[in-house]
Parts: sequence; structure tokens; C-alpha cells
Amino acid sequence: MLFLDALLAASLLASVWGFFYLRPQSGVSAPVLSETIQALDEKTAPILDRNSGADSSSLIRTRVSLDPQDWHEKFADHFTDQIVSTDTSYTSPDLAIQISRHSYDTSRLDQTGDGSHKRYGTSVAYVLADIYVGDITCLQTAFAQNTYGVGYSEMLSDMAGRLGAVLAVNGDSYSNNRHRDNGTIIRNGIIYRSKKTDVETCVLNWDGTMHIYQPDEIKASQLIRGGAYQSWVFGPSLLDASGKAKTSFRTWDYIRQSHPRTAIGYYGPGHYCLLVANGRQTGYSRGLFLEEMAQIFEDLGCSAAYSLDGGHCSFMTMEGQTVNHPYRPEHQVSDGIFITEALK
Amino acid sequence: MKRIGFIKKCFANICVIAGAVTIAVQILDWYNPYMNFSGYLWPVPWVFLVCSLVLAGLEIFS
Repeated sequence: MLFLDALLAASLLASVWGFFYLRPQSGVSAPVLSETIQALDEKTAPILDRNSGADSSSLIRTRVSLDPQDWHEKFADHFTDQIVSTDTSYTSPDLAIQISRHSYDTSRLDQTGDGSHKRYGTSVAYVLADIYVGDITCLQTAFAQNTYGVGYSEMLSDMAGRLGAVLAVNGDSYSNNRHRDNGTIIRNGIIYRSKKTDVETCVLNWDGTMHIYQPDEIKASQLIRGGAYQSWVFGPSLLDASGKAKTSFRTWDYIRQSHPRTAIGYYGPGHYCLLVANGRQTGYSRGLFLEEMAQIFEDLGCSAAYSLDGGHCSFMTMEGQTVNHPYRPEHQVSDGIFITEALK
Repeated sequence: MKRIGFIKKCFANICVIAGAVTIAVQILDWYNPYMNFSGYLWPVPWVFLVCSLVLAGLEIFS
């Protein structure tokens, strides 16, 4: 009889999981950035057009306010006239990407939780992509199956191939947040969701600046006028206002443990970095604690850094090759960040 | 008495199911509170509480 009870309990959980989490629902077709730019060029839709419905043409677009400085000139010494690609670098007239791999021993076991992470040891390994872009359109985001909604997922490498991306990492898994107040999601200058949140929101603006908002600071109208280009709702932020590593983080206990992680760092307009930490691999890399990752970004000299979804989702691919060392085969994700050639 | 015994048995099984689901939901939400399992399954703890009360009442007064 108890076995039957357990079976019924498991069936109830599985039904809820399947119905509310896996079943594709509330899907909104998301235009890729080239379509958005084309629409702006052709002025087929006003920037602040607000209608109802789940049609992507009726979504709100943010004001496009570009940096007056030409990043091609600013970073001229990093770009090349022709595409030059190696296993660890890629340069072109619009892009400069340098991949570096790092590992060190932290001398610290993960004692948190029930101690199950202790077996992974004290070593950590991570991969860092240092990125200069000549144009903000070189940094794009995309949803799985080009659809904003719940239950849509796709391999990051497939998404990167579809977009012709040079480099890609997973995003914030925006659709996993199933609370009513699950934050503001802006992708490629389009607002897909505008709700309250109790976590920090990372916003990249059209002018290349990045700002991390506290929950009580963020307002959609301000983001529209301010020219928000991308936003991510996961966190926490890793650096304080002076670029020093934080020691306390606005997140929950499980995230404070050591994990495989993905994060984005910001040096200044046009210069960013993406970090993917390997983890859960005994003797090779246990994964990073938040304070360890924050210290890495402080040492790099970033002025802002923000943690994206980690764990099994952490993944980086460059020109069709897996860059990091994931502890399981590639996992389907709901969104990603893609470094591409500039849109012409 | 036989009917009360049957009712008690039913409520006890519902308690086991609802209790197990509630514990599983708490564990899952601890790992990732964003998933909000407890939001979707909010009636389950209430079912557990009500069934527990009914069961206790039947046990005490029958």
C-alpha cells in the first residue's frame, strides 16, 4: 500500500512537472536581431509601440541610443582587416575574441550542504573569453527555437549555428523562474516581460554600458527610455560599485555552494568577458564559489560582473567546438548569449 | 466501525501522499526557488493538514 502511495505522489509531481514546466506554453515568436534592426531602419514600427497580444510585432522596443564613440577606432589595435581564427582566438574587422584557460588549487573543500561536494576536491578550472566588439550588434541574445516562453529549449551549439555566432554561452534560463514576479526580460532591444523581482537585474544598454539594478531600482519605463538592449535576471552581481569583489551575495543557499558557473563581465562599452567555470569533476574542477568568481573578475579589472545560470547549463562553444569541459554532455537551454559579426 | 476504519485508512493514505509531495516540493524549491513548485502545488500541504486533523479526530473520538 505504501508503495502505491509513493507511486501516486511521484505521479502527481511528474504530472505537474510535465504540464507546467515541460509543455511549451505562452510562446511568443522572437525576431532575431537582424529583423529588429531592419524594422528600425525601415521604420515599420515605432520604437515605443505598445499593443496587446502575443505577436512579436506588438512587443515594446526600447529606445536605440548608441555610443557616439566609434568602437572600431577605439579598439583598432585588437581588430584585424581579415578574419584570423585559431583554436583560442578570433579576430576580424568587428570582433576580437581571446580564449584563455585557467586552473588553480584553492586549498578549500566545499563543506556546504550535506558535504556531498567534498569529493570534487579543491581544484578549479575555468575558461575565459575576452571580447572586444566593434558594434553592439556583435553581442546578441537568442531564445531556444526563436521563441520566448515556457518549455522551449534547444542545444546552445545548434542556436549558435543558426545565428552564425563565433562564440556562445548559455544565458540566464529566464523561463525557469516561475514566480509571478519574475523580473524584466529584454532581449535584442525588445521587452518580453516586465515584472517585479526580488533579485538583481543585469542590463546591457545599446550604448554598450552595463548596469546592475537592485530589485527596488528597476522600472520598465526607465529601461525603455534609457536604451536597454539586453537584460538578464539571475545573478547575483559579483562586484561592488568600485569594482571590488563582493563578499555577500543576494541569492539563495544552494547557489552559494561551489558549482559550474557562467558569468558575464564588463570592462567598458565594447569590451566584455564571458567566463565558464567547470565543476563537479573530481580532481579536475569542483566548481567555483561566488566569492572565488567575484575575485577573478576583480583581478581582471572588470567594473561589473553578473552570474548567469550555471550547473548543467554552463556551456561555451566557439566556432562549433566546445570550449569548456562540462561534466555532462551538452544540455538543452532556453536562451544564450552569442558573439557574432556585426550586422550590416 | 468498519466504515470508520475504511475512512481512516483512506485519509491515512492521502496523508502519506500529500506529506511525501510536500517534502519533495520543499527539497526541490530549496535547490532552485525560481521553479516555485510550492506555488503550483499550494493545495497539497492544506490537504495534508486537513486530512491529518480529520484522522486525528476520528482516532480520538471514534
